[in-house]
Amino acid sequence: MNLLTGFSQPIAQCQQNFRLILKALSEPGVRVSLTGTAGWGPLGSAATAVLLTLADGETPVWLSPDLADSTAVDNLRFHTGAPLAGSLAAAAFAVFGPEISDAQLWELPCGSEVSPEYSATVVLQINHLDQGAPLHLRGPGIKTRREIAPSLPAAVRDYLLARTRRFPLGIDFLLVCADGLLALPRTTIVEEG
Amino acid sequence: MFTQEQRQCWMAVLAVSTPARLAALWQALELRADYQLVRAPEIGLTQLQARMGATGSRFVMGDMTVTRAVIRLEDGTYGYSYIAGRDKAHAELCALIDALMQHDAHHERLQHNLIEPLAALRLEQQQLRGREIAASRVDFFTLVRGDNQ
Repeated sequence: MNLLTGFSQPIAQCQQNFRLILKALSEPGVRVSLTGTAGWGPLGSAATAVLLTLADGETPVWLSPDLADSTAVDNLRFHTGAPLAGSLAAAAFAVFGPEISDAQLWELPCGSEVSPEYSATVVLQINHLDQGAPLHLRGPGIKTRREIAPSLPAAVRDYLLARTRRFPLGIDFLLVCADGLLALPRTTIVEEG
Repeated sequence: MFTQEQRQCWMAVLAVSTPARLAALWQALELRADYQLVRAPEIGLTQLQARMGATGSRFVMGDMTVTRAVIRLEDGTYGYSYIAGRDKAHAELCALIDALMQHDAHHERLQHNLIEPLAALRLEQQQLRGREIAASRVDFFTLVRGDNQ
């Protein structure tokens, strides 16, 4: 077992990162920088910081097979105590690398009309947050329009542009790369730039 | 290597040790080791469960404060501690001692000069308390009364 360090100041750093994730979700497309950890194996520092901050014993985490090596799994279990979800349908957080398929996105829980909060949050670790095809964002938290250009996998890009699930149902995306994070909550309207 | 039972024994002794006593014994040993905190000491609650007379059905007795820590020595040995109370420095020291106890170089010395005195102190305190309780023991007898026959 190869245990790595989590946050050195667990309470303070969890609160700081929680505040930053909240900022990213309330102002979609704004890039924030999560610090405090070096990452666990294939999980980068921002993905690790998100899991350390948000995951606990009541949130099953699903790790994509290309990220689920023993270092990532052991440290996730040790530091957060979060159970590993057996299937995508049971996940509260799903962590993906660039390899993600349309079928996987549709398998994730999107909540119900009565309890939309029982939806999954996708942590998508991509190679660049600013070198992909441009996208325009509209919606709550954005005054007019905001432009982002993450290098999104095709399945996610198509999913975001179509958005066939009706509000309040849906899944929220946290795009991470190294220590950077930007969020695309279900309320954001994504259009091609 | 040490068996799980051996490790349980010394961790149990460390778990209920008093900070002042442990620190005094530790300083007398003059051991130095470089280590990294894997899980910084954190304070939490744990639920206590008990059985009446050790044989009855299980019930929840209450909660107690526990501090835990995990450290890693430079050679990759992990030391864990779960201690009673809220003393973070004490938890860190117990984790370090747990890691060093797994090394043959330090095991004998720590066992003789630290774990055994602490275990002896604990046993003494338990016996003292046992005698106090035994002295106040009351036995109830039901006497047969003549008027309700």
